[in-house]
Amino acid sequence: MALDLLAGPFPLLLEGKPAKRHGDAFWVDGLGLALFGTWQDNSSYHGQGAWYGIVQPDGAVRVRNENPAGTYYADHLMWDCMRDDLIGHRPTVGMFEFRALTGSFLSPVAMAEFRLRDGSFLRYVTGTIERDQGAGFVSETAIFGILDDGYSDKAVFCPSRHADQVWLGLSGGRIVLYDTAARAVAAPPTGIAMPNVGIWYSRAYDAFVSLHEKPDLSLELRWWSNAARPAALSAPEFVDPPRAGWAGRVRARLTGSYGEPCAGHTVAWILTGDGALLDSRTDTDADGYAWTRYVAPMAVPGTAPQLAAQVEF
Amino acid sequence: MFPQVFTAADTLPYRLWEGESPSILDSNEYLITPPRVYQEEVFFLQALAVVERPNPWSRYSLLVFSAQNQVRGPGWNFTAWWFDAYTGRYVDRGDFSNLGGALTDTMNQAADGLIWHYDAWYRVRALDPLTLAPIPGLEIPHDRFGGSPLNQQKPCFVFDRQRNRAVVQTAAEGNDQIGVYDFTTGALIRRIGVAGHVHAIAAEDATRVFVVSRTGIVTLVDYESGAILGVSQLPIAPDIFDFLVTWDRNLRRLLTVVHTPDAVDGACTTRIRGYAPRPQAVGITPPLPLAVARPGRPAPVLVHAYGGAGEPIGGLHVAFDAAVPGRLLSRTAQTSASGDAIVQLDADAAGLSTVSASATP
Repeated sequence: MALDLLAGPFPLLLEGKPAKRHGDAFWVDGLGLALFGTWQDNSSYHGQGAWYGIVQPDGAVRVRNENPAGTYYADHLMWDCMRDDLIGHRPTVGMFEFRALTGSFLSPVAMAEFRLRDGSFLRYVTGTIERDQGAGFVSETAIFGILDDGYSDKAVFCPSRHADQVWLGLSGGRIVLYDTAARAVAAPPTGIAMPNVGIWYSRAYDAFVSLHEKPDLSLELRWWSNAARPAALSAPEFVDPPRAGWAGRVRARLTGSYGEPCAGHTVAWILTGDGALLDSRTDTDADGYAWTRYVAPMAVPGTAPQLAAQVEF
Repeated sequence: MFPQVFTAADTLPYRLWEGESPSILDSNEYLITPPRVYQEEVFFLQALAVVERPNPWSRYSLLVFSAQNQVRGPGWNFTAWWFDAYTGRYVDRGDFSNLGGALTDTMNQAADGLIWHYDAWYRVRALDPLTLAPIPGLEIPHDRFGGSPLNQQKPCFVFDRQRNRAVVQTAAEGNDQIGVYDFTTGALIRRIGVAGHVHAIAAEDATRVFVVSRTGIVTLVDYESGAILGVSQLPIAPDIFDFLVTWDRNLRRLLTVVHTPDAVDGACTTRIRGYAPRPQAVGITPPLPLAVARPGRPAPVLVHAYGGAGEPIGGLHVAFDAAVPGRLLSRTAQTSASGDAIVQLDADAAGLSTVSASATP
């Protein structure tokens, strides 16, 4: 487990029955999880048509648009930073600007990929982020070595709270923050360590939401903290060699299961042996390091001091 | 979900059968086969409108125009039913079978109160709302707008002559689209995607219309800007035959008349109802932590309120309660325009606190 699971799994329920997918989904802040599904009851009223619904944070589905036409769904939804709304690809019909509020397709667009504010498009193809600035997609950054969880058949770009940075979530469970201006990975990758059919970042909630499809095709929603869950605390390291009467720096690093730093956690320091600690509890910094200072005794001790660190979370 | 605020006191009062045997000129004898005792029934609904027509209770009346099957020859009639707008009491009825006979199709009330009548002769004519007589000179071709005919199966149109606009669904619009046209020239100005398969359009105030889908999803649209102002839901049950919608600008409510099956004895159950255009919640989520609560570091806890179409519900008062050993920094919060109520939880130890929430409108 890398990110902390906050809530879930919540089953997606439509009128009390499990909801099934019929196309793609996307989390839209201020609205909910926009989802294309299909009626399962085969009634004369619903038929077997597709519907467009809004999934609430607890998995309750409310249908907003239904249209029996066979092509009324998007098998691919991507975010459009130019419109702050979605782009949808309709099988056999084409690619359109999409209005998540009503579930309606608008004007045709050039492609159904993540559109940046400058009109260029981003996509992820087997380990590489590519960009199209009007002359076709060009390989930009290889991240296959970072996202080493094997092949992910789906990748979702989401806007972050930073204007130039986007979150990339893969169906294998890894998540990476990518800087579109610097054209480089912006932070150590993390993840949810679970296969999914979509993982999105919510700017409003500063949390991740993931959608999972079970073997019986029913769906579940999970909420994840935008902070890695601590998995390992390194042994205390004397950055400055102990010198009699001097306060030398000591540090330990707290990391998640993907090796990503865990910031803001309190580390308790325990000293056995001679000497003293200036701080017995300190917080980890943005790189996951907690720092304290060890004051060695004036007389050189016969045995080396034993320093231990532990974290509570 | 729009809350219901009005129920008409009376349904459409069918005429009883006088008792003698039907003649050779009569038909539809199923109507008077026991236990049925009424000589007519609604075949389909055509118009719902609010008209300044004084009655014993108030100045305003509600008009329901419908086609009936009846026993007496020719086997059908077209009737205007008048109800008091404030109480919904039945006032009187008038026979308008001469308006176009069996070819009468659909009427819609325009922003200025005129009733526009689209008949099966493909004529679109303005009617005097009191007499339902065609107004000379106010007739337009049914394919004026973009050269496409109005949707014949379920014509949806609202005309705004003051601003020279027509908000319609023609054959050129998709199922979940409305078109905004120049009323005079018929030139297309814009198309607007709405939520659901369009069933009715009702003129609200100024440049706004309610567009209602066949499953009761309501989209409030500003047709001058193309903006979607909101999406909500009318509680329309799926087992009904048909329904009509209009906006009552006097009492600011969305009126519906729903064609429902007759009672066992044949009595009419079709009734006018009114709904306030302020969505109410149909559910709130359980409290969701947005971060892991740790001692000394309060974490936000979210409750989200939603309506029938999944729309966020603002202004809802949410009461939170935390089981020890956690502490809530605030026990109450109001949902924002996004439907979110957030309080801070200060936990004594991670993973040990539980929070519950309840909400009142």
